[in-house]
Amino acid sequence: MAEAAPLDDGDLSKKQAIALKRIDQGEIYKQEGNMCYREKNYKKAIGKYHRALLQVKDVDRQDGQQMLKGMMGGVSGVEDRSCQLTATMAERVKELEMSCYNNLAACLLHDTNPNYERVKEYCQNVLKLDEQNRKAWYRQGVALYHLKDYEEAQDCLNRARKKVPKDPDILRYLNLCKEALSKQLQAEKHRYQGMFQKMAEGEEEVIEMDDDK
Amino acid sequence: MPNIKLQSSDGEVFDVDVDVAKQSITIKTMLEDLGMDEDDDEAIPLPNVNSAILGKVLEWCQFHKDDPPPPEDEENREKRTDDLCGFDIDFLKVDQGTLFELILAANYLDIKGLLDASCKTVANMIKGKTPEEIRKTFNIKNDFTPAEEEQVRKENSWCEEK
Amino acid sequence: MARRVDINSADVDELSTLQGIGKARAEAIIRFRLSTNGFRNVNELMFVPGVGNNILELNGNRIICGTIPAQGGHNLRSSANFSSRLRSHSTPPGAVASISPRQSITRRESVRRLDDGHHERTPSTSRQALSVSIVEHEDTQQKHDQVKRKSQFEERKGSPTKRTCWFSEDTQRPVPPLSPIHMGLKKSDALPKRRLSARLQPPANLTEWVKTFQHWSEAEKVLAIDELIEKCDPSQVRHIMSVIEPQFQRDFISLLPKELALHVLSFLEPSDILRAAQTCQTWRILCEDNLLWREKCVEIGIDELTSKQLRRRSYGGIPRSRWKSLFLRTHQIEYNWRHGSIKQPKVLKGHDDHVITCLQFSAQRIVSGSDDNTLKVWSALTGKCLRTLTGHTGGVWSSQMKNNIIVSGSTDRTLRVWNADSGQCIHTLFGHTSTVRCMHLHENKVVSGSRDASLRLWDIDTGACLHVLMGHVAAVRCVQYDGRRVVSGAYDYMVKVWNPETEECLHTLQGHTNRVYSLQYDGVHIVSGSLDTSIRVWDADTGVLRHTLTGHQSLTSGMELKDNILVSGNADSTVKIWDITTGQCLQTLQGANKHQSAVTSLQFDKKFVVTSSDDGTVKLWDLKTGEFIRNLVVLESGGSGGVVWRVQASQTKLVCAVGSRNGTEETKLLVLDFDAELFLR
Repeated sequence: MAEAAPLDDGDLSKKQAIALKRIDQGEIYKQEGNMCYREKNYKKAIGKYHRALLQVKDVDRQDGQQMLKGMMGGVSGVEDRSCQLTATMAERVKELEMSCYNNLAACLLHDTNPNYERVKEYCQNVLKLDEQNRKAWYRQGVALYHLKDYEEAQDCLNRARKKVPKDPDILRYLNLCKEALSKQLQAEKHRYQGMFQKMAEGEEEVIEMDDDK
Repeated sequence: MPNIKLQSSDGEVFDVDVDVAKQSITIKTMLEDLGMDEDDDEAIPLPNVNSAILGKVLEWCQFHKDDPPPPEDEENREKRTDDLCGFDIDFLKVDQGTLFELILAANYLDIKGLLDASCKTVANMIKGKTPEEIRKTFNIKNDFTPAEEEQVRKENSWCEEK
Repeated sequence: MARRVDINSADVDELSTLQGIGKARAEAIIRFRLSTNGFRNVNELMFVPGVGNNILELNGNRIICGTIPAQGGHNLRSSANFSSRLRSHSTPPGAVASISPRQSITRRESVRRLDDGHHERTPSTSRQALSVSIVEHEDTQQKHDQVKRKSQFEERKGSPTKRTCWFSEDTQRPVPPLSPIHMGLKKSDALPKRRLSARLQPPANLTEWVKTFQHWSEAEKVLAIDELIEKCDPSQVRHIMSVIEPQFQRDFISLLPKELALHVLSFLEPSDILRAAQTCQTWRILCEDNLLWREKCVEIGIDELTSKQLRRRSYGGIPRSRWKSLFLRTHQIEYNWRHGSIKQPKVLKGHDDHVITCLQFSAQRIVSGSDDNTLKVWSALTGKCLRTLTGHTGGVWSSQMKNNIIVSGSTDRTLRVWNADSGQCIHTLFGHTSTVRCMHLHENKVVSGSRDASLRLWDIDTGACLHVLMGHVAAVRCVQYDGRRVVSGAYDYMVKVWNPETEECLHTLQGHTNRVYSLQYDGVHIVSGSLDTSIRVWDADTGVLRHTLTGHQSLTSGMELKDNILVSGNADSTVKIWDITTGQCLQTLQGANKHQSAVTSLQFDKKFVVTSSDDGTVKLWDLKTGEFIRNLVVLESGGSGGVVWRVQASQTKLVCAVGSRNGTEETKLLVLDFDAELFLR
């Protein structure tokens, strides 16, 4: 029953042809998104990227052919929906998803009040597909910085540095993290100092409690 | 009430209330990313869902649009199938093919309530049945040899007080 | 003019000149001729639908059968060949017509056979031929089944010869591409039953009628169908349903992506999953999913695999799910406790004529202490007495065990530390000035309580006495120790909380109005049972009394505390289950099957409570409902002296210390096994 996956796109079954169309359309949306991004129309770009992702989501499990249209709820006996993608197609899907998630993260960062959790989520989606993806590590670092998770942020930024150690953007954020961390440390110190102060003052009390039998 | 246009795989466009569409986490995420701006009215194509199924899905979403969000700690809850609301029970009295399509659509659109309801419905079709009865319900071919069948039966026997 | 008509070459007009043959029947004859490669003899006319038996009589010699016209066709003889070609042949619907030449040959064969006078149904071949026109892939077995059904239908209708024409109206006609039934039938087990009805004499205009239908647009077709259905009576509608229904059934669990199929299965009870696994190969594999079973295990409170269970096993090439094995084993063990036939327990005889005062059971080692001054180490596996620990000069009244270290306390005022494997006494701990009545071991330290009203903390590695706790003014009867705090109960009615390191008494819990006999301590709560019939729950940090649990009529001899559930056994013969956070009594284990005498000891887990009594029985109860399940042990001498002093249970075994005070029952240990492997089905 399972069709052997052909190696190239030359010899496709009907379902694979439909999948191919969807992948093509997905890439078109992505290109449109890229154009919008270049024109700084970020909202529109976001819309395009999402549409691209919707094209390739579950593309290996297509909509079954329509039979009994209009009757009995519309869809008849089910066929096996699975559709094995060719190696090329699968690769294209992966590339497309990575680009779209990366670009979505980039668009979100342009917002006046970015949803950093979402940026982080999209970066993680990219990294699941490609753990070396520099842009994703960088943007995740940026998001984490803004979410005040400075140590994690540094981690991500350093990973992004691996390929381009002198990238100015990465370095800038690393500095920001460092500064933020040292500020944090200062604040903690003050707090503890305050506590010790209080404890010293309250010491007599503490001793009294111990004597209680 | 702002609207959103959803397009099925066979080209039909559904004009839907945003509150209804947001039952789909996939769509909700997209709308959140877009913010308050009306997406320039371009339809959102959903190539994995045909019009008949999309129509059913939206009908479900319409009914459930005022539902409270499900509790967070799903993990530890005992899974039960007898807690479907009346609407869902009726709504899911469809042929198996449609049920199958609804499961896939709910998964594609990330609509947990519909996914769970439809999966529970299938589970209810299996519950309490003997293997032969299950085969009849789903038109499954018994591809065990008699020896294998005996082996499988042994390994899956359940002791119960009669 | 009575011209001869050669049924193998005549056209419609010629055929129509025959008596009893009109245009329609003439066309039918020609169709039959074409699809079967010609008539072999005039008798075969009878197989043409609509052509009656009397045709030959009506027409006498006019009908002749000439030589079969040459047909291009394949020489397919064997049906096996035929069906296998069917299976591998991935014909799109439009190409169906091309198959007919093959089918005509096989049909001829079948016809010939019939001609030999057997009038039998020829099973597969001819029916396969018929089926081919409809489906693309078929299984011989399924066809065979279909065939059986058809023949049954035929027989019911009578006059078999008339009905044996397999020829159906539309074998020659190319099947329309989007015809629903065809598209859906790729893997169908069931052929559309309409083939059956087609075997009847089709009405004269059926062909045209269907043709007209096909020429309509999609929407018009739907309208027509609606009209038709409206005009049908119930039996016809039912027939429609029976034809269509199988088309809608699909083994879509196999067709769903794995994670969704598993999501469906996750809503099933374990027993349902096991039955589902027996349906077919795909389901079997799916139902073995490890994470699915892990979920089920977590639901019943098992959340880790022991190292034994981590060993991978497989059968039939499918790796066995460890969580499933664990789940099934757990269920089997529970079943064995509840309903399994209780096999002969192992009987461990010892401590003759004496009382077994304390019992320890861990892994496969049982240790019994007695007022015969000894302790005995037994193997739970073999029932053999491995060692007798001698050395005490007085009765042993308390003991503790951890790994292979045993600590015992005696009326000889000493504690002894033993190596369970060698039987050697490692240390004798001197210090108390009266009977060592109770003790509690925590890691390598043990706290002992004595009739001398003091408690002592000992290091069992070195044998040194680390601390002495003074404060009670009467015999210390019970003690608990968690490494951080010591809690003691005494005959002075008090419960004391100590910091053993500083030897300080942090709290003295006052409230009981009689001797304190039993204690439980979980680090947060202290629970004390007294001769005053009450049980008190105290806050361990502050010493404040939280609840007083009343209801028992007598002395609470033993208690167990786990996860804020307290089970108390009382001399009034009842057992009560309490929630110590609320102070509420959840259940009382009594009723028709209650103990008839004082409860001597108990054990409980998430499902069961096991209780023993002076009445010579050991009973099993349901923890949640408080219901009596059954008696696990019933001494014959029960009621006349036989008693059960103590029980200790593990998940799969129950150890009971049994005897009597009047010689009616020998002193012994009983070991019952409820393990899964024992109970083979």
